[in-house]
Amino acid sequence: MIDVQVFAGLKDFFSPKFQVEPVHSVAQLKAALEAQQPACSTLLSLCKFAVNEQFVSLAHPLHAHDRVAILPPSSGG
Amino acid sequence: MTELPYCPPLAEANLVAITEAPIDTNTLLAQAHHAEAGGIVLFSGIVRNHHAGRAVAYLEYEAFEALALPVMKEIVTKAIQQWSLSHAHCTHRIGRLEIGESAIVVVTAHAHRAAAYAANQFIMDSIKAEAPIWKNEFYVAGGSQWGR
Repeated sequence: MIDVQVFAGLKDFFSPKFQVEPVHSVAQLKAALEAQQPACSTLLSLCKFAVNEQFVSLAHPLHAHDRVAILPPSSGG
Repeated sequence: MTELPYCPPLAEANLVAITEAPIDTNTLLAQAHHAEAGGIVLFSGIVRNHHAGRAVAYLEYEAFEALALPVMKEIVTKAIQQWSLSHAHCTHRIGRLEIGESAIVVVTAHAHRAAAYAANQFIMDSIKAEAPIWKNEFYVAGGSQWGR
């Protein structure tokens, strides 16, 4: 399984932490989440992704036990 | 001859912090004093009672600290190097904040004020844009909305 953590507005669509079956890449994970919550696709398209606490691109491969964080545009300060 | 106060080198300094506790602005200002610093700029971002025509009751901030802290540290370090600052620090608060409380404090010190101002604005702008930290506005009339 892959551990997923979401923040801010994404929590209106998903649990803050959940698990998904293994997929091959961050892009595949994003597509699966868009299919699950189509109304969230615009926000997902604006998000950055991190795997095991490192920023990654959509092409980044995923493996079992990876920890994915999905980060909406910052609004701190 | 007057003995100068001890000032730890920047490598020892605590450049950034994320805290649920109220930010101690006076202490952060005091830590910036340095014999070489002719100018200290302290910016404090305050929770205001309105946004886009709506009355705000309070804010809640959350952060992905595992990445927010390294991102903040990289930004502050870049500012120190770019402007040759004698001191720089940023603390961001998370959790529930009431109107009038400080959500973020950025302190910069330099021999001259122009660099202290410029570096402070760079740090503030960069952290707002890049650090994975988010605010949720809760309105007096009810409801809430994540910041954009």
